[in-house]
Amino acid sequence: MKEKDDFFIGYIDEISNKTKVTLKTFVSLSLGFLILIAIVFALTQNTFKNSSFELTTSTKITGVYHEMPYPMLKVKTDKNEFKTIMLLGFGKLSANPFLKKIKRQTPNLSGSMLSIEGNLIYYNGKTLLQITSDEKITLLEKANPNRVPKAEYIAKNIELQGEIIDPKCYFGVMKPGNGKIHRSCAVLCISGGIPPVLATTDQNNISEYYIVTDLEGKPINKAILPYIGKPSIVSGTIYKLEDWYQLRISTNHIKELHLPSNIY
Amino acid sequence: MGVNYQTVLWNRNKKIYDRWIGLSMLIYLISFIGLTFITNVQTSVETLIIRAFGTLAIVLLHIILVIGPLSRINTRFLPLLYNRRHLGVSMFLAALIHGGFSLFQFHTLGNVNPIYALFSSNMDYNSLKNFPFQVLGFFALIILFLMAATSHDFWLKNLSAKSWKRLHMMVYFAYALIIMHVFLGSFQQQPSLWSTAILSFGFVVITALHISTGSKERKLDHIKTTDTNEGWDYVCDIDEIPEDRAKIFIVDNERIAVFKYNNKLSAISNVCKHQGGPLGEGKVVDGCVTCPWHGYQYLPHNGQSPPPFTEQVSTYRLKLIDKKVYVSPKALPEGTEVDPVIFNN
Amino acid sequence: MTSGLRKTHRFIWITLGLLVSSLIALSTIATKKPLEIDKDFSVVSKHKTQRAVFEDAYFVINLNEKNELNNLEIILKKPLKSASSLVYGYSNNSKNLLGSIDTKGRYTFTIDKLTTSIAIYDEIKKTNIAKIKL
Repeated sequence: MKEKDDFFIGYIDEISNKTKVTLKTFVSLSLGFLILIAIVFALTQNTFKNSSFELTTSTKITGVYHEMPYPMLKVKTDKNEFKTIMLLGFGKLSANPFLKKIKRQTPNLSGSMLSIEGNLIYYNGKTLLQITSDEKITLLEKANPNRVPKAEYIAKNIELQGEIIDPKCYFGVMKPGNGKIHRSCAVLCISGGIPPVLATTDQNNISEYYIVTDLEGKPINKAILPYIGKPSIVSGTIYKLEDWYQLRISTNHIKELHLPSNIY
Repeated sequence: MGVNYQTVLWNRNKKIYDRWIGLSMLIYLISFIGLTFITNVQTSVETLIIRAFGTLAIVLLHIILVIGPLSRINTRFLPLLYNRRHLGVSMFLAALIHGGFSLFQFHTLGNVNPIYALFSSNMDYNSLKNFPFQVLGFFALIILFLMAATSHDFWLKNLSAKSWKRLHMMVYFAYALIIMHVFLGSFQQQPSLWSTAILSFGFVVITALHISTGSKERKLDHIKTTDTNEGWDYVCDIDEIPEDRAKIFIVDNERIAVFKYNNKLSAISNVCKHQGGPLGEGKVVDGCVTCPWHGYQYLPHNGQSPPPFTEQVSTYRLKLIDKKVYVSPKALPEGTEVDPVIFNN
Repeated sequence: MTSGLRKTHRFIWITLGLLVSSLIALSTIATKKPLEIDKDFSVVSKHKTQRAVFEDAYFVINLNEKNELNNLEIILKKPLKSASSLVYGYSNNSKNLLGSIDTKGRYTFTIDKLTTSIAIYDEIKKTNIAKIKL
């Protein structure tokens, strides 16, 4: 018997059996591939860290305000215990635009007691606060220079290996908040005034974080932009600022850290 | 065949096709999102969406790109080609969610314009390791957007078939950009043997399919006549042409189709006016040559689409000497009526 | 397709085949091992005189009994989800502030022999993090 000459026409409902078999095979194989690829891409993701960003919860903190050189609030947690919380603004901005109003009312803000309401960001022992409205900052006590902490010199010409990250994303807002994928965002954040931080780790996986400033301890947001988000070797002078470290550098002393190739 | 421009001329096949597209996308998203939640629970919602839709778009693009060559290898894949456009638009939507979210996540709420930030936040254009991969994704998304926006036949008519085709062939360039977007982006931060292998395999398959199909077609393009008779070229013996089907031949470097139907012979251009489909691989149905790709029709004796449609193709004169079919190697203007050669069995 | 279009396709695919293959190879070769800055603290085995008290996904707690006071060692393996972590020792009725822990690592506190349990409290979020019996 002569084989039926089947021909597919889209707007006619009939499809020959042989074509149906081909289509069913194609669709089944495609679904199989789809699931395989979902498995591969899902399982090869790096493990996300348990950093937190309390976007929907407001927390009120009270403490001593200081800028050395970036806005911080030293909060007392118990007798002789305190936590220095880094202050940040909304989006990719620093806290400075949000502090303008209260600075106009109280020109000398360093050493004063403030109460600030905002969203907490925290990870691995570091805590930050996102301020979203300048209405949420209240002055409790005027400036008292005795309250302002002093930066304590530790050592100079120290070489550290790590990555320069933006603390807002790294400590909670984005996952991952470091690396090449996140680099553009980190550059934008630091360009917006957020303090650059060098995130390091030692051979026991103990992390230490250094707030980066220029050689005089002043903000270094612009000059550091090309070095953000890449494995680096940074040399500078270390200062201790209560429970944060400070690294004073010149961008001449940032070198690329050459990591071993991934394939050989 | 759009006379009045409806958004979609729905029929049963398109509905089934679209349901499968929707179902597949859903299965992928559920698998990816579910697996991530189970094995990597600290993920953030934005990262999850960006990765789920980005990887979905890549998979869909691979499926779209194999359909073309597969249909040349075996005509049973043609139903996949029929509604491929819907697949393309769906893939663009997935890519748009990925790109849109990424643009919002990484480049907005800063102190500069997001598009400016996208291009200038990472200026290491001279390094592979540090290359600003997001720029590649951005350009690919633009191409896919232009293609999706002009995917309707309305644009095919109004942009001229040539420009439209040129625009839509940019999909290959977008594909290359997307592959490099992944290799210079995600794979630099999360290198993994499996994901590298799978994406490379996808690229190899698609390239191999296209090149091998191209080689096969090239052989066909080099068909030459073996006999000439007073300036007419010998095509084939009349028995070589199946009933209601055609023999494809080359005249003046272009393909023509010689149809045998109802004891008659007619020759028309092989290239359908809609999307360039191979009319010679079509069939005469209800007295009309029907294109195998989307079912556009032409009357074999004058190359014109039956009213109310207006497309028309060139026709050619034929003559039959004994059992040999000859064609006059000069294309007649589109829509020219040519008396079909009538023969007795 | 017209012959021109076929030619264009062939040109595009041979170019892409060569170009993208080389770029894939080059970018794979250029890939470096990622900088790992978020791995869990690698715990060193405990000292002979220490007694293991508690272990879970986050903590390894060891007690070193000395003459008058005890040394409490808290090893934090992975970061706590906490904005501040104060450590308190509980003995019968009294509550004693021992200190605070922040980044993952090893911490030592001196406690008296009467301390029966410790608690970790987040003063900023006003939430309890953990309560562990010794």
